[in-house]
Amino acid sequence: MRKIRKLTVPGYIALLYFLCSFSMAQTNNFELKNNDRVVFLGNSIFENETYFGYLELALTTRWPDRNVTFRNIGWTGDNVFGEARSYFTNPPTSYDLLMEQITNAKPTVVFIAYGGIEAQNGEAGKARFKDGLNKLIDKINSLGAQTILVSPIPLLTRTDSDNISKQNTQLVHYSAEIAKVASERGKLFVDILNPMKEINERVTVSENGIHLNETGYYFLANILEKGLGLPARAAEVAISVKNNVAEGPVPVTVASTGKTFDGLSFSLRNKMLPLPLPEGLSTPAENRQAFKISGLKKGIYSLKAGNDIIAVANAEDWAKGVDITGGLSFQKARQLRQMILKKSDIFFQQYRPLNRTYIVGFRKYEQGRHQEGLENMNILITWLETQINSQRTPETQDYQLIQVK
Amino acid sequence: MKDLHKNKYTPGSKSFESIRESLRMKLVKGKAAKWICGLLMIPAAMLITSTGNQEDRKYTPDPDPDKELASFNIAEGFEISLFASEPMVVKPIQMNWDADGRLWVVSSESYPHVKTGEEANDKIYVLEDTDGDGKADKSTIFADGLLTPTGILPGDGGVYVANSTEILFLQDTDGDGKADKRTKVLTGFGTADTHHLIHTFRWGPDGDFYFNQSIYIYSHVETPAGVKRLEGGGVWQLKPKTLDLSVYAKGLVNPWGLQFNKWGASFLTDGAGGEGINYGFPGATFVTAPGAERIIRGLNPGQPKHSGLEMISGRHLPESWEGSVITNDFRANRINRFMLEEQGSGYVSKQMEDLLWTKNVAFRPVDISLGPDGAIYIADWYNPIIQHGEVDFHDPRRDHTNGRIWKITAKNRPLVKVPKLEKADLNTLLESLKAPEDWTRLQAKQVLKNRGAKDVVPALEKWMASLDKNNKDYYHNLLEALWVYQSLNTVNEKLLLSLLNSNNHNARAAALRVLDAWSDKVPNVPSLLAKAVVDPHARVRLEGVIALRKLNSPEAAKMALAVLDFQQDEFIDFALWQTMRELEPQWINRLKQEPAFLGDARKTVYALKSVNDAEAVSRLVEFYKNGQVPEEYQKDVMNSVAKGGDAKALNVLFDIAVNARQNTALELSTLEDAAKQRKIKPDVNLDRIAAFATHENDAIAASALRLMGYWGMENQSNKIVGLIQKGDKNIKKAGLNALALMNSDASKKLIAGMTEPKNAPELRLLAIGQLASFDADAAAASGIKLLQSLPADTDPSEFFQAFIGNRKALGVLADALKENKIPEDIAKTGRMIVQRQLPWYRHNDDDVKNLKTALEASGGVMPKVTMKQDLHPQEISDLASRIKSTADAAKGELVYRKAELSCITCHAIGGAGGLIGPDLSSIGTSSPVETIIKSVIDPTFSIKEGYELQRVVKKDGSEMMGYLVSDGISEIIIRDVTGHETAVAKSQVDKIENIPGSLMPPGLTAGLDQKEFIDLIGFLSKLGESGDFRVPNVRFVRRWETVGSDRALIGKLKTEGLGHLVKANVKLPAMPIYSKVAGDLPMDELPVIEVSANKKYSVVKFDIEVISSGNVNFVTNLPAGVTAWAGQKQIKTNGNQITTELSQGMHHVTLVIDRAVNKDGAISVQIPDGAGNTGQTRLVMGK
Repeated sequence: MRKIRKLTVPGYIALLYFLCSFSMAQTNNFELKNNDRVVFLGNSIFENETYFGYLELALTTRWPDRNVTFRNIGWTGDNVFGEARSYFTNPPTSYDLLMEQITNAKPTVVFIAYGGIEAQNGEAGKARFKDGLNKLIDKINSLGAQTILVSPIPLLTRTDSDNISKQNTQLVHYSAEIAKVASERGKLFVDILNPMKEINERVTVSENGIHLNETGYYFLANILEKGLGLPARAAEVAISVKNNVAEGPVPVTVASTGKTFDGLSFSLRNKMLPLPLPEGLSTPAENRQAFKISGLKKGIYSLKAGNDIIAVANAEDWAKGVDITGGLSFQKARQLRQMILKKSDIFFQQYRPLNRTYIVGFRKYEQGRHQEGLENMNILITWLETQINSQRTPETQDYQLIQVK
Repeated sequence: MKDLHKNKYTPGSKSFESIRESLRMKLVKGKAAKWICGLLMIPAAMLITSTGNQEDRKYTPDPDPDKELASFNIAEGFEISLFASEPMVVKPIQMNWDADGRLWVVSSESYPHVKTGEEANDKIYVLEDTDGDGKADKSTIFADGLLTPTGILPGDGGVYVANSTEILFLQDTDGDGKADKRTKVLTGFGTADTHHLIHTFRWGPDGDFYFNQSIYIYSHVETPAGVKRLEGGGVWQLKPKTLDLSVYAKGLVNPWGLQFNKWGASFLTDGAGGEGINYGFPGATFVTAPGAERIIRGLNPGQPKHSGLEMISGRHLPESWEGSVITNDFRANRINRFMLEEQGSGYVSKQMEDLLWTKNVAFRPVDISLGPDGAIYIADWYNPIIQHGEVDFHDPRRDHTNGRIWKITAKNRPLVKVPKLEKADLNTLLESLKAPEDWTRLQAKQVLKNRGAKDVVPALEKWMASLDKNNKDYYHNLLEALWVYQSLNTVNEKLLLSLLNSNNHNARAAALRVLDAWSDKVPNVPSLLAKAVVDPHARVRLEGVIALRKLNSPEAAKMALAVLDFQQDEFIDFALWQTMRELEPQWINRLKQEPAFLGDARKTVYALKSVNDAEAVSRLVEFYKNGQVPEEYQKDVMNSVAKGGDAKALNVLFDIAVNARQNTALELSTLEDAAKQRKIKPDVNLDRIAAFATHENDAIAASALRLMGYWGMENQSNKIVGLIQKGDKNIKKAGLNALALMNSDASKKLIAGMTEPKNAPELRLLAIGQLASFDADAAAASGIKLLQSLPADTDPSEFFQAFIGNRKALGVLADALKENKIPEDIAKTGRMIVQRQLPWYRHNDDDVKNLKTALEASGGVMPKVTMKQDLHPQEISDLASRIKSTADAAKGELVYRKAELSCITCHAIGGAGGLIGPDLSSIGTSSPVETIIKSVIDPTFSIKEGYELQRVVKKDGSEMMGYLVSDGISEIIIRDVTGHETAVAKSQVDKIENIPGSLMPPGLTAGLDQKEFIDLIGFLSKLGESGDFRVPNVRFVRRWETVGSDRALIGKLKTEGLGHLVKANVKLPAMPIYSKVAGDLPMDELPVIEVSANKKYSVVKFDIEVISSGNVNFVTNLPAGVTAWAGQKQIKTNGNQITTELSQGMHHVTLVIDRAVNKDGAISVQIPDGAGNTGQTRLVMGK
């Protein structure tokens, strides 16, 4: 006969990871509110995010109860004067276009990441950069939106040359300039330069030395969250088993037949969806989500999430803590990321369309009828955003730990 | 970099399936559905994309490849066969071969534009002929999911692909023939026009990766060495390993062709230009490059537009073809060949017989390439529609499913055995560097590059040592070795020096490029370059002048100027000018300290006239004053003064004009330009100008008068009034202009005074025209009075032109005419002027409508509309089919030539004619008949690139409207509605704005009868097709002047003989006239000057520019009865041959046709290339 004993933990809520001890004391209380519209504005650092989606995924999952939308208007090669948005005809000038794109994005929160291109002009270009940055802040203020200034990333080569260190020195100077503007204007500033430099020393975050790869964007999301003063995603669920009785932060059921121990089952709901790892990367400490199950008898145990086995480890490792990288939350997060990418792609095609010349440009009298097609992309975008909203909340997952050997 | 591409998703994931399903349930209502990358489905009903017009499906020919094959006409000695067609390959855009001889083709079915809700799924095909029967039998889709890819280049273990905004590198890592790894190499290329996206991927002989972009593409690319920008057309140069990216050449409208010859010289073609083959070199700047103050021209002005370019090489094609290039005239469905010959620092390009032509309008040869077997392969995009704007993106006539690769071989000549190089041993690869086929050598170098320096260099050393020094190809073999070193990024100084010192100029020129690339890695670069710029061969000097830029020192500028001790030509002149500009910061200060630093006066003047700098101008005028400016630089120096001289410099110039009196006309017009463009004038003793106002030379006197106006010299007003009263029309105009320019109450009063009835009608008309610019009411009032009493033979055109050229005056005139009637004939003239001279975009404005109504009230009705202009689609479609079946194109050409239609005034054919609208040489083969009809009745229907209308607002508030001919650093040039070009200093420009529309007035054909209209459109729709309506390959004189007959002239000819016609300073009643498409000028269109009963003549003149001196041979179709002069010198004629030696510069040729001998028929003059022509010439084209 099977004897089931249940131990109830005080505070019966299907909760949640305990926050890690290294969450820092922060003065910034950044949060996104319901119906916020976040705009990413800058050079390739933001444009390339549209290939990977980690920043948007991080901010989407962070407040699962809030409806937040995103527009990425980052443009490769761009600077605070919108020079990369140049085109055969003007008006609008590339700067007019930049202003128009900011306005049309209807932001409530704008992340600005410029300076990486401007730093190539060295000291001589600093004053002009500062001026342009301030004008952007004025523009964003005039729209009633919040500005967050982001530093450039460093050059990410590991070889050293005079030229590289010269460039890196300039990037540091420009980053300091941005920080200065932030404090003068009372804006949040996030330094991604130093943390990225540090990470670059141990992980390959770039293939060409100037742009982040998928891993780079994964880390950039962490850096950004940390820089915004958001608590780390790392969490640990500790369960201890003793005499066929389990104790943990949520109710844990021990299955046993007489004195034998057959396994554990419990249900958990994450506070937020996790960031799925890029292929081949192991979870860095700050994102580690672990189950630590102590008191198991010697043997090998597998953990099932629903019907899928998501971890297998021996008792010793379970006692130390095993990384959880699967299950419903991860599945959901991956789907969410795909939808974010798709939405970003459609928006990209909408706001800087192929054949711009003939559809919205100076030859629109020829093919201007296709503006309708561009407008119709809103249907797709809105539909995807609805899906994203309905997918961002974590669900309760049933877990079962079973001894396999 | 393994990344997650935007379009790459994991299909089959449950949730996506469910999303898809839920969408299907929600959205699809029984309509055909389209997938978005397996993730999303958007119902057609939800996203209605415009589908455009449905008319004329007949325009689409039968897509059967056999039918297309049967339609081909091919040059003698060649044959064509099908290599591959759909479904093995569809919609090919570019193709390139890999080292194993497989053909990689990039294809876009979604071109020109993806429908909303659909996902592009464009593909890369790899075609192979595995059984060696000469036909592809295997087709693999290497990659899909691409978005409008337009360039492809296999190499480096994968394939580079242009994918709209990015360059991808795709690799097959598991050997299954499909790409499984995608790397973004570079991003940030513009996408504003899909037919201009980055394209034409090429390996250079140096191992670099070259590619092009076109006019609307503005690219900003982040590279490890910083952001690289190219706005507009041009050629990029990339080292894929280091991502070192630079701009190789700039400009051209749609440079859809790039190729290198065996010595590394590069050539370009332009899919929307008109100058045939273009010679490119580092820094070469062509038409349309933004910010360019100066451009170089193509080698075949007046030639059609081309796509693709290939050099002829190898053993398969006939030896006589060596040195020629082939390119596609994709509009006219044919393949052209040009023969290149070295000349000076560049090349001459001579058009040869076409290789292939067809009447099948869907044959669109977009790329051309010599295969590894030595045969010619053609990518046929197969589409009746090629345009972008004027035909809807989703027009059903656009073909999205077909495509062919054709293969042309020479009859009875063996093909080359296809080498397999990818896995070949080092020795085979090195021996392949000797292959006569460019393809084999290029691929061998690619493979060697990837084998790496460690293995290759020792073998290469050995191979070089084994070369036979007496072999004619010895230096070419060494050059290939040098290129291998370059692509391996390994410096070999010894080899470089041996080539720089070789006795082969081609090798020396090519080695200089390598020296340029290694300039920071080899010693003694300055002395090597100093030697290069005084090399006996001009092309070596050219490369030396270019390479010197990198030294970035004042000495480099000085060294470059040494090239001036040799014969100049346009390429060297351009390169030297550019070098002087780039090095300006280096030498300008040094010159201040050491005035003789750059050498003699000629060299110093050259340097100074190259830059835009007030300091440089003040030095230039000093040189000018001292008579140290060589004659050939005088115009440039004056141009510099006009553009950049300050008051001090202008004082010096004015002094010279007053004291020296040698070049007065040029000097005064320079002062005028300075005043007009920049409002700068001399400030000492301006009254001295008055003395010139009575100069015997009309041009000088008029110029002096205008200067008095620009300079505001009111104290001269009375003198001006006196001159106006007694001077001829030009003087009157200049004087009135001067008074208007003074813009004071007193001067305005004087003008008003001259409108009063006591003055002669001619003066009153002119004065009223001026008055209209500042007191439109008074001008209109007295103008109407004058018109009511105008003598019968007075032409009132200038009156109306003055009013319609000024918005306010136009409105005032309209109001005044409502109250007062004018004579019917005059009103008719006015109405016609309004119709013809106001551009399209003004015709719907209220003021213009009012003016029309007012003129009509006086009886100024337009001639009856005999050809309905507001045709609805069905009528257009019906008309189109009538045109196809009944039009007489020969009659249509005569309609086209009618003066009252002004077709020729605005459009050129074969380069000759007006430049206001696009050249129409191949309109028929590029546009469906419906499109031509629509464009004629509604000129805004489609606007060609480069013919976008611009509104320039100057800082003083004045406006100009026209086309932007050039957009330089310091000035822009605008071509207005009359074809007149005006330079405006950028400092004076407030804004430049594109406005929709065309300068072509609507309703031009309203007065034709329907048969005439049908013939006209029939003619236009034949333009470009084989036969009489295709501009021939030989160079015919197409732009002429003919001389009208008047009593005075007849008198002079009686007393002085025909010599009078070529005397200096003789004004002849000349008028422009143009050859027919086929090159002949009909005799019955020429005025006959009847000196006596048996002395009847017609006179025609044309201009020719001699680029390098030598013998020039003209051939006429008339064996007798032609007398010829070049300038004032009579040329001997020998039957129909007219041969003379001409010096460098512009020459005017006059031909007198004895009409007693040549009563009717036509005259044509051609300048055969080669055949005794040692001088290099260029016919003057345009209006």
